[in-house]
Amino acid sequence: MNQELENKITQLRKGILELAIMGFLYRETHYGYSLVKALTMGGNLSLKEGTIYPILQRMTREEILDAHWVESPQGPPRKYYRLTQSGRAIYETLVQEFHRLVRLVNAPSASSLIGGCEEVGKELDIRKEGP
Amino acid sequence: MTAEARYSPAAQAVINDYIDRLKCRLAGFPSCDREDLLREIASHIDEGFAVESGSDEMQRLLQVLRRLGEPADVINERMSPAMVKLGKKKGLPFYILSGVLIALFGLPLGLGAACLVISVLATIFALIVAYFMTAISLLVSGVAGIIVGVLLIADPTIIERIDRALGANIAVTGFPPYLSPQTDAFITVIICAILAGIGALMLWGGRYLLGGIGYLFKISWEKIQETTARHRQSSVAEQSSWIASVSR
Repeated sequence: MNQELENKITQLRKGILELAIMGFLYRETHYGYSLVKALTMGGNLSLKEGTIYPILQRMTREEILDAHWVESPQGPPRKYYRLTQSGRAIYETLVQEFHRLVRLVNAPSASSLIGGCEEVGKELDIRKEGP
Repeated sequence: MTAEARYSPAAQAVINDYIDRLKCRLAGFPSCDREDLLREIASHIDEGFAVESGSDEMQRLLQVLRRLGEPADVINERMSPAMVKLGKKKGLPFYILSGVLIALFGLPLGLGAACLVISVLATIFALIVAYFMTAISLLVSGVAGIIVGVLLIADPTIIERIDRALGANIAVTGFPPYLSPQTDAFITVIICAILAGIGALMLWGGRYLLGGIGYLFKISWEKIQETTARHRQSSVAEQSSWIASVSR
């Protein structure tokens, strides 16, 4: 894979990562390690695991997340995260935005986005591509 | 934190090295953030190590650290996009403008302030020196006067005899001539005693003066340190949150 394409994929993932973190924490409480495992489990997202911690810290500072240390019966203490009230609201807005963007990216044609109005397509002189 | 007993010394050394390198990358962070992050990642290593399968300890540990990523990558994650977007930041002209303004006015103002501080310090120093000089000279001349006066009371002709012996002329200006030389000397002793007393009192009081000035300096120094520490803390926090906000 060439470098430029790889960069584009990285950029795309970076933007989604935060949303994915919020998605998990919207439904469950996680600590760093369990969150990393949840994110990488399906093999859908590969990331350097450590990179999640600065992101979690920043989101905590932005009061999107709420964190507290809990002693663990097996092993070291864990820092648990959950969404704050404002974090939940932000997530809901972002998810809506995300779905809109997915619809945009997946749209079969421009006219389908503007209520299936064929006239607009003609006016703008849009031609069909591909098979 | 890392449970020391769970690792062999070699494995512990590898972990310590990783944490140390991470610490270097976190140099600009507020200390509470830094400690928290290090603690969290140490906890991650422990957890990953416990879960990792395999018999060779070092292999397991290295696998965990590989997945964790190099310290440079872990912390760079949010710095690098910031650098890419830095030029696009809307507020950039204002940063440049404020930089120019600081260079134009801030520096001379800063130098002026430094001169003011130095001159005030010099004045205080000069006042202290003058105070002690006055005290010491009062004390010394007072004591000398007392000695001369006592000698004169004991032997009114001593000055002339010293004069003769040395071939010099030490003139002692006396009080009006209708007083006897003894009374003259006695008044001299009393006046000189008062002068010496004032000098001694001033020296004694100087301790408190010095103590008070020292105390004032200590207080203002602490205040300065406190203010700069707070300022540094907030500017670092501001900076890193700014970088973080750009990196989104």
